[in-house]
Amino acid sequence: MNHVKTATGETLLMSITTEKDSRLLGREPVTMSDLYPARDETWLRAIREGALPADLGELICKFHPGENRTADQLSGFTVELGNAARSYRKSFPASCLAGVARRGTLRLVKETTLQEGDTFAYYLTALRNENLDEPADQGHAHSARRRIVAPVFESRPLAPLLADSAALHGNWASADDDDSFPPVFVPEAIWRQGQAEARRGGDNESAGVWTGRMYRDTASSEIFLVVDACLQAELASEEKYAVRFTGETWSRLRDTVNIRREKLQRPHERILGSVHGHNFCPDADDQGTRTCEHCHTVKVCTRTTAIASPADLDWHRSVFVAQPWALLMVWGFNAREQDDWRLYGLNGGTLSPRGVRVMQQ
Amino acid sequence: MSVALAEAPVVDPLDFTATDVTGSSYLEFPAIDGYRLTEDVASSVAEAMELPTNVPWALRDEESARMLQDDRPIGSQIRPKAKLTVIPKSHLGGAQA
Repeated sequence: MNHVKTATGETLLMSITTEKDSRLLGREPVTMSDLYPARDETWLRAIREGALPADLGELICKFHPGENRTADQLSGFTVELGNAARSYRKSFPASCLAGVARRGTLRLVKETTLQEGDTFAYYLTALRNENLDEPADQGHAHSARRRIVAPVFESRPLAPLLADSAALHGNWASADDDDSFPPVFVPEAIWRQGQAEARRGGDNESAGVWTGRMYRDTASSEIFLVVDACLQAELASEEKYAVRFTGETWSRLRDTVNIRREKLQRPHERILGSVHGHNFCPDADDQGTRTCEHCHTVKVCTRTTAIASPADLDWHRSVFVAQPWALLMVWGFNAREQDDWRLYGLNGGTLSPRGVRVMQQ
Repeated sequence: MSVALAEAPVVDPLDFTATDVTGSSYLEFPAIDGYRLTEDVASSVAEAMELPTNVPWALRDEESARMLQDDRPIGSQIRPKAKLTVIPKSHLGGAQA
């Protein structure tokens, strides 16, 4: 793991304290892996504004500490991406690194500094001359040559797609956040197909992937995605609370995408995201009741399984690194046993609910 | 009755290419220690591709369509210039609110 140093040479750490009296319990270093979502989101925002090129490999990344709330507590951090000609910055709250705090508390529990079930608080710190034990680098990674396939944004006017589609936000996203995400267009038939793939497993979870193309508006710098197909995750292991993509699943998906590229003459079609089903309802109580006491008075049922689990978030981050436009779609059920869905996109350094535009065909 | 099998010979050094599951990133390893355990090599590949290090990784040989065994030397399981895919040992999984 590479510990992160800011542009001014300070080490970024998450300080973990007792919740009651803010006594410092320990510090967990922030690693490069923790900051990739923020880096990727900065890159995406810069692409959308036409500020930087679409080849991440050509850009240099730096991190800057955010403003000080107290002597050692930062409000967040800033990512700077750039080349010799231009640079672009985006700031992120410390809360998007909650996973670092969780990792630190796991270590503290192991060291018995914390007991399981103890509450804690955390804040981001930048310290100079912090001597950390980094794992010995055997140099294996440095002998490898890496090539990232730069994303291609084909030219296409955005306005006609906006006119021929309807915005859907479901119960969890807000139109107020639309500007935080590049627009995504899904044909109605493929939207329904995604739902079908998510429900195909019956009592088990099942999944598919969305494939499509990315475009740059001819009238602005905005980019947008158009989903062309929903492919079944064949030969995935489907269980009640998990769906595992096997090596064969991925091989078939890549082969299908390659065939589509050739046969449909869409050389830039790619996997844009996943869709899967949480095909179970929220837990019932001892009397078999799922709904809460307010059920008859509220419009939207908030007890739902249409929510990304920590496993979903880890999976998405593992599959779609350096692909900040990628989508995570979850179909579930609410306590009223109704269909519910939530679509996620990268915002604020973490996956957040977002809307979609469905095209009538 | 069990039959004793000889350990497959280890190719060392070894060169291979690796890709992530979406085919968006490629890595060429020109000379790797063939005696390194596959599990260890998978971690190195993932790290070099900037993949999350809090998730365990596996390798698949695309030519033979086989998942490699974590606890065996990589040089005993693949041929030079093999094409591998690095696959997360993670799953999409449910949660309840």
